Order: sequence, then structure tokens, then C-alpha cells
Amino acid sequence: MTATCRRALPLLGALLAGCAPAVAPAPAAPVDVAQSIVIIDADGTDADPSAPWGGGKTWTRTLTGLAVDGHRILVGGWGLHGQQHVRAQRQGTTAKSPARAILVDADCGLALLTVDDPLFWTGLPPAAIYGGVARQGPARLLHATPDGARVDASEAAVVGLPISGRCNLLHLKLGQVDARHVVPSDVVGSGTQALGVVASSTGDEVLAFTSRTLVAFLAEARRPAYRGFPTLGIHWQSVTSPALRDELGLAPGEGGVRVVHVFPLGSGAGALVAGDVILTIAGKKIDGDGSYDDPDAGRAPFGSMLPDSHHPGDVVDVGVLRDGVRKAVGVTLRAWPGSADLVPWFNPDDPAGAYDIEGGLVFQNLTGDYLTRVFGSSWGTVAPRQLLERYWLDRLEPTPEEARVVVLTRVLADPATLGYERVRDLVVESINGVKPRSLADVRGAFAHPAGAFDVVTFAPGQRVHRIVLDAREAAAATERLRSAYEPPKVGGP
Amino acid sequence: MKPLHVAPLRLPLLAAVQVVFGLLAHASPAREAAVKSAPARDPAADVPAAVLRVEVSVARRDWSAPWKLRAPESAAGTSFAIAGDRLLTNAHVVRDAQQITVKKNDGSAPAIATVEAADEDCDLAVLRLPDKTFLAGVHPLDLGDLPASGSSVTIYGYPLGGRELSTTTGVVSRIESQTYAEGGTIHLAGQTDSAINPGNSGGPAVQGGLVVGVVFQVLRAGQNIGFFIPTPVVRHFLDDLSDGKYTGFPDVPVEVMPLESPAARRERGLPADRSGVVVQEIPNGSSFQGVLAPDDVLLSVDGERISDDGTFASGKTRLPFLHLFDMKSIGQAVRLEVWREGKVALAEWKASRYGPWDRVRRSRAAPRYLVYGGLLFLPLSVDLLVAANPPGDRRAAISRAVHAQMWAPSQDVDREIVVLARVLRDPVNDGVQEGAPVVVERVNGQPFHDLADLARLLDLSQRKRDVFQLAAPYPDLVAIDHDRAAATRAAFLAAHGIPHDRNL
Repeated sequence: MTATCRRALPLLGALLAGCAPAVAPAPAAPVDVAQSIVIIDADGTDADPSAPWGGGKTWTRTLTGLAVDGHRILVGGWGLHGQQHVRAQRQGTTAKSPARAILVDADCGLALLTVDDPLFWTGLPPAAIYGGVARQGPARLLHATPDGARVDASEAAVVGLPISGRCNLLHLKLGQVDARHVVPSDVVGSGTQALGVVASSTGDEVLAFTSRTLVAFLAEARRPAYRGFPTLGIHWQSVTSPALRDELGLAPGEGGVRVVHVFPLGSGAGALVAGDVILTIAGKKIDGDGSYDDPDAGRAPFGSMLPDSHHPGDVVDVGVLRDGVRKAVGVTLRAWPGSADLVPWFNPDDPAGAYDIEGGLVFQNLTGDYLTRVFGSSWGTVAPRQLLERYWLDRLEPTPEEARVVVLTRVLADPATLGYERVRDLVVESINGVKPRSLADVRGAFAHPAGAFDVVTFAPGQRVHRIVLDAREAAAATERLRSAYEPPKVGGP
Repeated sequence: MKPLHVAPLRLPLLAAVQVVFGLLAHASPAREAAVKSAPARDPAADVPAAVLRVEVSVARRDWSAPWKLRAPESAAGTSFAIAGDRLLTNAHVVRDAQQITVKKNDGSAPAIATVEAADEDCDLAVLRLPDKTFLAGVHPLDLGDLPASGSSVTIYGYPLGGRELSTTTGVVSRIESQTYAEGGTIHLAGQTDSAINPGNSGGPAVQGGLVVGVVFQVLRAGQNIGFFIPTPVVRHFLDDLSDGKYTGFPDVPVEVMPLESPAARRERGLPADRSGVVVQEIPNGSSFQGVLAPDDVLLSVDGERISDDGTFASGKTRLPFLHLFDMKSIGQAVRLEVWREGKVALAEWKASRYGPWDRVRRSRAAPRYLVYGGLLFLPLSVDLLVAANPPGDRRAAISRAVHAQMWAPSQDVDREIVVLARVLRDPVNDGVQEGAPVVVERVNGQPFHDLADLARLLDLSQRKRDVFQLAAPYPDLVAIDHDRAAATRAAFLAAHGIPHDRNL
């Protein structure tokens, strides 16, 4: 009878019912990981940085969600960025249950949803996730489709383990797959276990988060405060050239990579210096080509070591060769959220696109989102030089004086701006003598004109250095143009 | 005149303005021309006979192996006879030419031509014919004046679609400054709606038998937007050649902005009867340093009053004031009138070239290079940047190096920017990472002045290893064993088919 009790009820229920188990409960029978997949239906809005005062372009997309322990649904990629309404749907059903995000790591591209309706979870098995890293071999790609609320499966193969993304995570590179039919958040599975979740699918390359990363993310997400993934925060160069190894004083077989630059907000700041040769991290030898021996993945890029096995706040010993002396330095690990970038990819302060209209001048923080949406797919060559340089060369270099790159993005036609209509996309140096640390400082700077005029200056080398507005006219224009361009505020008194 | 509104490395604009360089496939054999000769005294009737087809065997340079030429290609364009038994065409028509033949429109055999002079900056070239008799009976075309907007113009040339002389007629749409795609610089240009196609390049735009321009490029993004080099620019080029010492067009390294803002006028206290453009920026080493200053209002150039939109009156038309500078000769003094600190001030500017632009612009000279330890070093140029097409971060790093020289304080504007262009594999550079072109900052801890200086420092090096520091933001080190590089140099050069390790 005890066996019957176990089959009929969960363990706790069985105990309460007086059915004392005669033996330890067997784990739940493994099920095909495809059974843990749910269909995620999301609506959202992409900001329109070229007209930030209005709404953006709305979208609806379907994502593959993976039900995991704790009534959570794992979603990969950046498909939920800008989401406003999310619904979850079980396979073979028509009902869509409201879902809500409980954690979004916009830097690494992982998110967790939950559904508050307990009925949604009845009979939905949480996925078993492989604890290691799948190496080369066959796999299945599982893709949720709204058509019939079903899961489509296709064959794929893990063909490599590159490092990718700003979190420096090891990824599964998938081959033997048509990348056009793979979308972020599709699940990589093998029988009863999930091996990964697709992070990106571009051109002919499909990259997926490893199962080890997923396990780490799910564990971290259970903490009261999510800490993210740590990175070392450096630029480095390989030291495979014998001549350079000799120049740096490295012994044969010693390994080591050379630190080229230490970012001011990164973990390495204050501990590592440019010119150091990193020999070991946490006791593990780093080879000259930047690889190390990963216990799960074999030879792997050393940059993936920290995010996949450590947490922000951990202190790791880094063995360096500095000025001819071998020594160990303690590095306190930090995560580096995109919001800390000088030029973040999107505007973390306001996904709808923050802006300010002052005297007919439109100011925005420079973001990657601005570059791609305003200048299109060829933004890397057609966007103004001054913006591209700040994005490519400075985006990880905020300073106390410059937390964001403030840009005069366009000039709205108005009597106050007569003569400046063609001015646009200039990096601002000062407004009325004040250097704006970010967009938030712009309004305050216009509150204190330089005498009868508002004076805006721009960084050198942009062809325009200084423009002047009549302060009184500018103030009137501000009100006039805000009311003309900005949608009226809704809501009662 | 050099970029006032367009930076010399602003590649997108270069790409947007498509050069009509007439890469015509020689799909059909030449046919006998069937153009009757015209009465000699009618200048308009002289035109067809004076317009010659240009066929060029082009062997372009390969930036990744600058000591060799690529496989030859055939190209074609147009030229026309001018005084002195010469032909005028575009510089881009004959660029990288290994052989040039010209063919009259009378069925006669083609003749060999050589380049007497060319300037990529204004996209003009003069051809000379070793056969002095070839142009006998051909009446050279005379240059006319700047045509009026709205006037009719006829384009002669040999565009694709056939081999006979083609004529198309349109109107002069407007005359204003344009970026010349060949050199990436700005000069006056005429726009026409007349059909212009590949092969038209170098052909004359004619009014009443007089040449009013030389066809050179089209704007592919629009419809019927073709451009010709107007006669003032052509005359400047030809006049400059006349003394046998060509110096080119002056650079104008100053940024200005139209004074169309009433607030800006009020702030400067500019009287209502004054007008001009506001000086915005003057780069390091500019010939305008000490002549103009930011916030000056440039009122006039050699007495020609500048209006608030940046134009000046030239007869019945208005032209961009930059044209006034452009028409000066190198070394010529120019009187400027400026509004500075509430009053009129006079200044004098001497026309000159600007080093940071001069060094990177397109050139017909054999590419300069240095090969050391399998590392290929090249001076930075527009050509290199176009050909190498580096990824975004590398492109940004190079453009910052160029602009830092112009705008960062205390920069040596005479320094040539040198890039490590590629790594030619050899045991001596084993382990050196192959990367996109990247600026070289120092060698053995020392800055260097130019490619020749880099070579000199390497030749004189007594170090066991020569260490190159690449420029920020990726200041990698590259090391080469000095003795080993010297010992294997001859074998390395032979293995890679490199005739000399340097052309400085």
C-alpha cells in the first residue's frame, strides 16, 4: 500500500495521510525535456530614438520558454526587452495565462518569468538541466510555435564552445542547423535534459547558453539580491610570439596573457595594471593563447572562467608577472551592468528612450540603440564619426565627469532655432558653461543661461563648436515644442 | 579646396557619390566610326571631332602587397582636345593606367597617350600624344565661362551602350560646392539632368561650342543627377600647370557655419548691414591659426562680401564663398575682413596645403611601404582605409588617430600616421596575431615622425628585439627578434616575391 500512497500523492501528502513510506522516495521519472516547454507570447514596444517623445514600434513575438523548478520559466536572449504584456501557454491548450517577469538580466540575456495561476503548473514537469557543458555531439533544437501550441524539434549538433557576449560566457556553437529557422530562447535538448538555451542566431551562427550557465543563473536567481556574472574588466593580448615572450621575461612553458588595458569600473581596477602578464587565475594556469583547462569544457577561453564558476564579491588570486616580479594579487570580482557603460547598448534609465527638449534642441544620451535605429543596418559606416568613436572606443570608460555621452541629436524647427535646423548629432561639451554629466543635467543647465543667451558648445572636431539661442525665446520655445511634440499626459487630476 | 564640411576620411559620403569611371567591357570589336567632319569655322560643329574615346589598361595596386600590381582590367572613358595638342580627361579615368590609348571619332587607328599631369583632388588629367600628327585637323575646344543655371548643356562622350560618340542634352540644374569623390575634397561643381553614364567621364559639357565643364560623377541615389567640373576649376588646374610646377588647390582647414540665427547675430552685436559666416573651429597647424579665431564672423574675402548663407555674388549667380579660397594659388595672399569682439578687423591668409589632409589623400605615386620581420607598414591614406575596410572598432581607432592629430592639444601635425597593415607569415613573426590595420604608436619606446623615420630607427636599432607599440585603445605589443629578422630578410623577401623591403 505504501507504494500506492507514493504514486498517488507527493511525499508530504503521503505522510500526512498516514502512509509512511517503507523506502526512500524514488526521484520523479525522467521525462522528455520537450514536455517542459511552454509557449511565451509577448507584446512590447521598441523605442524610437529618432522621435523619442512618442511611442515606439510595437511588436508581438512568440518565444520558447522552459519551465524550471520553483514555478519559473526560463527565457533566453533579449526577446523580452521592452515587453509590456507577457502570456504563457501550455502545449496543446488554447488558454494563455498572464505571466510576469521576476528577473531580467539584460546584460547577459537571460530572464525568468512566472505565472501566478497555480493551475498553469499542474502536471507541467520542470526541466532537468544538465549540470555540465555539452561538448561536441548531436542535440535537438526545440522551438515553441503558436500554431497549434506545439513544439517543433529539429536536429542540430554542438560544434564548438566559444566565448560570447558582454558577460563573457561560454556558449554552445550549434552546427548542422539552418540559422534562419532558429530564434533566441529556443531550447537545446538531449533526451530528458536541457543542454542550453539559444542566445543569438545571426547569419549562419547559432550560439546557446550552456547548461552550466543556466544552472548558475537559476541558483543565483534564488538569492534575495541577484548579483549577475562577474568579469575581469580588462583588455588583453595573447602572448604566443616567442620574441614577445622573451621580451616580457616569460619562462618557457609559463603561459600568460598581457593586460593591455584595465577598465576603471571593472574587477581588475586597482589590482591589475596595464603591462601585467596574467599567469594564473584562482590557481589555474592561463596559457599564452588565453586558454585554460575548464573541467567541464576542456580547453576554453580564460575569460569564461570567472562568470561560469565565481560570483561578484568573490576574491580570486591572480598570479601576475609585473615589472619582472611574479606575484599574486587579490581581485574582488564585480559584475559590470550595462547601465554603468558610458555608451550603453540601450537606455537603461528609460527603455522608451529618454530625451529632453530645451529651446527646440533635442538632447539624448548616446546609446547603441540610438545608432542602430537611427542609422539603420549600415550604422557602423554611415553614423557620424564622432558618435562612432565614442561608441567603439569609449563605451566602457565612464568617468566621474561623464557618465553618459550627451548628444544634441536634432533641432526642431522653431523661430528660436532659426539658422540651426541642420545641426544634429553633435556631442555636447557644455551648456551655459556647465558640462552635463548625463542627460539629467541638461534641464538644469538651461535654467541658468549665460546672460541673455543660452550657449551650447560641442566637443572639438565636429565642425560646429558653438550655437547660441536667445534665452527668453528658448524658454518659450521649450513650452511650445514640448506641447506640440509630446503626447498629452493621461490620467485624472 | 579641401573639406570644409566634409572630413577627408568621411567614407560614407565618398561612397554615396559614385564616380563614373566607366569600366566598360570590351564586348564587341571596334567599328568604323561614321561621323562626318564638320565645317571648321563653326565651333559647335568642331566638338564631335575633338571628343576622343579613352581606353585604358588598368592595373591597380594591392594595398596588401603594395609592391605588385593586380591583374590588368580594361576601362574606358572620354577625353577632348584642348590647346597645345593635349587632351583633357578625368584623373580617375587614367588612374593606375598601364597603357592609355585614345581613339578619334573618324575611324582612324587609336594612338598611345601618356599622362602629362593629373590631380586626383580636382579629378582632372592632361594627356599628351607622342604622335604629334594624331590631332592634326582636330580643332581644340575652348573653355567658356561658368554656365547659368537653367541654361541648356550638351554632354559628349562614350558611355556604355555602344562605341560611337554619344550626345545627350539637358539643363544646368545648379552650380554649388560638391564633394569630388575621387579625391574626397570639395570644389565647385555643375549639376545637370543630362543623362550621364559610365564611360562619360572626362567628356565635355558644351554650350555654344565652348566647354563649360568636364563630366566626372553622378549621384546614384537620385535621378538624373550628374555633375561636371566647371571651367573655373578646370582653368585653375590648367593655369597651375602652365609654369611646369604644379602646386594644386589650397586647403581650407577652418570650419564655419552660416550666420542665419538672429540670436547669434545679436550676441555678436553684428550691425544689420553686415553679413558673413561664423568661424567654428580651426584645427591644429591650420594656416588659419592666428588669422581667424572661433566666433569671428568672416565678412569678406578679397573684398567679396559674404552673405549670411555663406554665398557671394558672382555676376547674376551666387556661389559658395569657399570658391573664393579655392581659386587661389598656393602661396597667394588673401585679404580677409572679420567681425571680432564688436568691430571690424582685417587679416591676411596665405593659401597653402594642410598636412594632415595632404598626407592621406589619394595619390598617383607608387605606394610607400616598409616590410620588417614580415610586418607590413604603410602610411595611412584614404585608399588604404577604403581597401582595407576595417571593422568598426578598428576604423574608429584609425579615425580617432587622424582627428586627434587635428584637434588634440600639443599634437605634431607634421607626423605621418603609420599603420601595421598586415603580417606576412614567417617563422620570424611566429605567434604575432594577424589583425586589421592598426596605428603604430612607437617603436622601441620611441615615437617616430614618418615611415622613413620608422625604417631608420629599425636600421639603427641595437636591441635584441624590436618592439612595436600599437595605438590605443588596443595598445598591444608586437616583438620581432632583430638579428633573426636581419638574417632571414633576403630569404623572406624572395619567398614572398617582394623586390625591395621598402619604398619610403
